[in-house]
Amino acid sequence: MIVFRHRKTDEASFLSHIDAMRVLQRTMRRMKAGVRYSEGFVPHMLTYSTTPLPLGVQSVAEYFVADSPMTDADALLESFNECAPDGMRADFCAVVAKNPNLAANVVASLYEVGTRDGVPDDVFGILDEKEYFMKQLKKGQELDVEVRGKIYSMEKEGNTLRLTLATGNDNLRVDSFVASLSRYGVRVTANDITRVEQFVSIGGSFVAAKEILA
Amino acid sequence: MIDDEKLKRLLLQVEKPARYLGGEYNLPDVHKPCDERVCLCFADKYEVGMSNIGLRILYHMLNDTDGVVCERCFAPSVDMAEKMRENEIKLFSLETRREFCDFDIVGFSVGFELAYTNILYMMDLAGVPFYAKDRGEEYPLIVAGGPCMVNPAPIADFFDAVLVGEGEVNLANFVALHRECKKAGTGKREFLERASKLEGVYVPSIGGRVKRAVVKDLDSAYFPTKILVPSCDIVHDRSTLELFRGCANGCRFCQACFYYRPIRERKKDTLLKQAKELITNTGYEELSLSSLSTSDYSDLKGLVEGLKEEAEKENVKLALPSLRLDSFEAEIYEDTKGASLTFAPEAGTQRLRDVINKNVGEKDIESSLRAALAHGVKNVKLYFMIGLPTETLDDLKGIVDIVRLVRKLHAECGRSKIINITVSTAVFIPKPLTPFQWEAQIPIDEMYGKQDYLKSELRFKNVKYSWHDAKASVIEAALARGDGRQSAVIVRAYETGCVFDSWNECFDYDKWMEAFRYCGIDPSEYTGAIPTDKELAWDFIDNGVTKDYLLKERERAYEGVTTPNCIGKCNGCGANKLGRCFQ
Repeated sequence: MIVFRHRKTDEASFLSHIDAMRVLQRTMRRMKAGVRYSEGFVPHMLTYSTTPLPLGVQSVAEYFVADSPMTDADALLESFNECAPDGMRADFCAVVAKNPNLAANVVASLYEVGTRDGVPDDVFGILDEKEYFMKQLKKGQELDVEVRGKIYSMEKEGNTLRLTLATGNDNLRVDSFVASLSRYGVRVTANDITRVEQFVSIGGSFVAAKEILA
Repeated sequence: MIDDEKLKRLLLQVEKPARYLGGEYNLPDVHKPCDERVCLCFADKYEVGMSNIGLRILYHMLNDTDGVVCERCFAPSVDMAEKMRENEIKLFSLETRREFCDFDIVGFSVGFELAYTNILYMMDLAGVPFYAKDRGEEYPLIVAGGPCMVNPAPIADFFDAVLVGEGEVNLANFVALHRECKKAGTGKREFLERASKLEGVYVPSIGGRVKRAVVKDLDSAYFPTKILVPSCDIVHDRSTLELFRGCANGCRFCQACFYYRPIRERKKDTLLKQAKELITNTGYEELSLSSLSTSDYSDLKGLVEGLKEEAEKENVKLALPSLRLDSFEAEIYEDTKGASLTFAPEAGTQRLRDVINKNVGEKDIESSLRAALAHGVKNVKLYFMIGLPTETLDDLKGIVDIVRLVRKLHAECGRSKIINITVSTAVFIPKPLTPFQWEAQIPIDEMYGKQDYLKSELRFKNVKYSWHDAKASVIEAALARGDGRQSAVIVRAYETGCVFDSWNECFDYDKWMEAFRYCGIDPSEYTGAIPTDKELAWDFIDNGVTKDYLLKERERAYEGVTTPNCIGKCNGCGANKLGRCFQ
């Protein structure tokens, strides 16, 4: 198994998840990575990813896993970057014995939200509340949903808001959450958001996914 | 250049934003030093335009030329156009987000008459006047090329120049001459006068006759193998090998068959080399073979065997379109592991197939279908035309009989439990440069009558019948044989809201008819029969195939006499004066 941490920035941030997966699978083919195929009637390439990003949100920490017998991580990383489009280059590759099942194991993500006008202090009042309701689309219907338990941390650094939010099976959509902050005067678009790391939980602490793969 | 931040904010509000951003794998170096900037436009959405092999060839050809940068532009969806207007963003190229006026040449590839309003839609979004006469030196040269240039008359007034024939020749020469003139400081008018003397270049404001430009030696002609790989889904998302141009069969309704003559093949070894490079450079999962009649390729079996070896090694699926019924080779089919088969008998009876020169006998149909079904085919698609010259009710009954035959053969030898049959009918459209170019199109009521008949007769289990929109066929026919008077109709249709006319959900027949009325033109002047001695709007183009040959073929059609495939013996259509057939 080979795992890459790649970016999804610039033009690539506007690719849907299914398009991005196809781009990565074609990257594997161009690399001649020898990725295995399923043995069903319509064989498909055995690849895995983490929770999809909302359209327009950028990332420098997407994980892509492929069932390949290759073992030279440095050579793979170099080859990946030759064969991937500009907005999807990787900065990390690991060879692992078995599928790390990141889709199930990643529980949180750190996002940076670039704001033009700064982050008002009263935004952080959310952390003092027991409940936080925001609008969320579910099956075409806009509902008020309580998400306080999915907001793990909120900080600011200059004009940047740093958020750690639930990811994976109990996902909190970062674009919806950031949109809800408009009530505090935070006005940004999905493209101003960048996922900078994804975490797994080990002993109740968040550890960057990269760390458990290295 | 467009403000990137403004654009990105806008893209979050539209469907499929990846259409408007470029950034594909294998993007050529568009930032290299250059003295000529060309923008190739396709008057339809990204996913349609990116599937066009002609555009693909010319884009890479120009970018592989020192000192020339070529970019792309497609028709934005209606939602995107609305946002662009709201935000005062002009139409821009995908690569560097430049506006039309930042280019030296803007070229439209026009492959379908119902895309004419989209040309105006793109010009409008780009902020350039529609008519060439209204565009001064401050505007780029706006030119058109592609298959519709078989009769450019309805749209000629919109363009500074019309490139008739193959872009590898006329576009390359046009760009080269423009670079020379630009260096010398030559003005637009003088340049166009010089350009009008180039092979395959027609300048509407100058007029005269023009001879279609063709690639003399296809085997050594430019063909890109390091092609763009789109990041979002497109219509034909695969690599394509171009086997040959032209078609030897001479079906009398088929414009492509005559337009792309002379018939020129690429050698097997060239194709195998190109296939290997395409597979390596693109990572595509599928490789298709493109031509007008793939089974007529001189060494198809050898080619498929060679491709199969490479494809299996790389987990690539081979797609074989355009198989003719008479030369269907089950062995090839078996090898490519297909589960569905597409046949185009075009007409239901042997009599009508002889009229249209579809050289497929009843026995061919039966034996081919039998072979296909015995090899496990589960889906059969059958394509027909209705409204062909001399068609009677018996010919429609013949369509139903062919469907019955497939069901019977399946019951006798089918390996699969269920056979799904899809029957599609198009309406015959008399097109320029065909032996039927003088024929009438059947009236719209008759189209509906024939479609209704088939709807009622094709009610079998697992048989699906689909038909082309009759109204769109009428407008397509009127535009296909249109003349210079129609430019006003196209402008009026666009101004009243006609755009993306080739998309069923967007086509508005009533607006088109209103546009014809507004301009005082009766569309039936163009859809009705044309006397054979009348001068035609496209007579000024020497397309190779002569009018005498087309007339002779028309006479043979009415006599029910077929003309054999010209692979063995030249039928003297005249195309070989442009270049040698069968290299």
